Amino acid sequence: MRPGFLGKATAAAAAAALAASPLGAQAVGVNAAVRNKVAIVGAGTKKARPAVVRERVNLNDEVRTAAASQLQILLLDRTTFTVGANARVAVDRFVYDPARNSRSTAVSVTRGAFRFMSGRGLRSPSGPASVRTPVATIGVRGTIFEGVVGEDAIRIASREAAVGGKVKAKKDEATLIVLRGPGPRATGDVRRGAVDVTVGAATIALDRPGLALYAPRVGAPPIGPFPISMEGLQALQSLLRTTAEPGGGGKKGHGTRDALLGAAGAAAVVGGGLLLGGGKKKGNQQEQEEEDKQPDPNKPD
Amino acid sequence: MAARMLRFPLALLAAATLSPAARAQDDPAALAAATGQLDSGMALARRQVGATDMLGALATLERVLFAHPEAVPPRLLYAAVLCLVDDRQGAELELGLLAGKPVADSDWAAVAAACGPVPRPAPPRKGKRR
Repeated sequence: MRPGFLGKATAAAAAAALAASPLGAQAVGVNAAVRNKVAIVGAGTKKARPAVVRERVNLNDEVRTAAASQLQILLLDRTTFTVGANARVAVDRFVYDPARNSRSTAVSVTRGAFRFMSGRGLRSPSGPASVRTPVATIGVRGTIFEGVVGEDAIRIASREAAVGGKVKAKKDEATLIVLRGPGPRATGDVRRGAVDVTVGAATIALDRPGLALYAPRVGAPPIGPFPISMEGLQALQSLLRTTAEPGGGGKKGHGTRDALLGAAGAAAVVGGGLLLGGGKKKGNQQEQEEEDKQPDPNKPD
Repeated sequence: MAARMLRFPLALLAAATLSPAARAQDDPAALAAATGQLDSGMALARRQVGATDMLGALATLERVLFAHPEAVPPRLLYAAVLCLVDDRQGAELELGLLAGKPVADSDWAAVAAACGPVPRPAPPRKGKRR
């Protein structure tokens, strides 16, 4: 791993973060928002601790989320990485030096859903950003994109017409990537975004909002690009969505969530599965029941 | 012509004044703190829209919605900004979540300006407790 460089622009934030952290660990950002059960496994200590808002995130820390849980990490260069339900994520490399106009970020996702939003800390970023999954490496060109790794990727992709249900996939490798924008009709000082997805020897660009690529397993050719369906996007969103929970969220162990939501937020109900088809249980009810079956992310695998 | 058209949604969405939260845009910890409250988070997001930092505004609104998932104005603004980055499909999904919730005309005007013709979320049923 390469050491990072913290520029003057982030010195205050970095100093504040460093002050409250284990000696020697490199801060890459902070927990900007936490919902439900999220644990951070320290790179040095290998001990899991509950994620807390404004607490620093260090290089190689592993984020573990349970069902219906999310974490937004705000990196020092203002790149945002949102970790969805049932995920395992780590920041493997982070270099940010405003004085030299350079930055470089590498994140690995071994399981679960995520959303990447490029930061605008530098107007002319010279360094690359990439997200690595078990089967793909996604090179980021100033954009918002989402992805999911694992069984949820198989479930969502298999319902897409461009993929179908007969593709052989591996549940610990399958990766679905969706570009969200900015597109060619974006407003303002926003560069058009794109990602370059490398799967094996093939590199495929996603350069329009709504384009998706599916890599079912190592050694298999990727499928796409194809336009993600509304149902497919909704299913992916349900893993990253920020909707309220039924019943006021009065379960134990949700102190951080309850503190963030307050009484009104915790009591409200929003239909997280409004656009989901089929006769299955929908939205947050299903999420909540799945959460009850999930292992605690604070415990090792 | 196109540039003139773009100014209209930006003017509707952006904050006119610089809030204390907006001044902390370069400090990640301060950004996280600023979005703990609905009002300060919305002000920061509007400021970012005004500065054409659309991705920053989306990230801010995502944090606001983490803390206030039931709130209508931040989700409307989130949908509007998605339109501004040309993610119309994503915007329509967000608007779909607001069915049955009260949407203020002024908030909807901003969405319509950013998105163009999109279906307005169905209003609450009469007699249904909000």
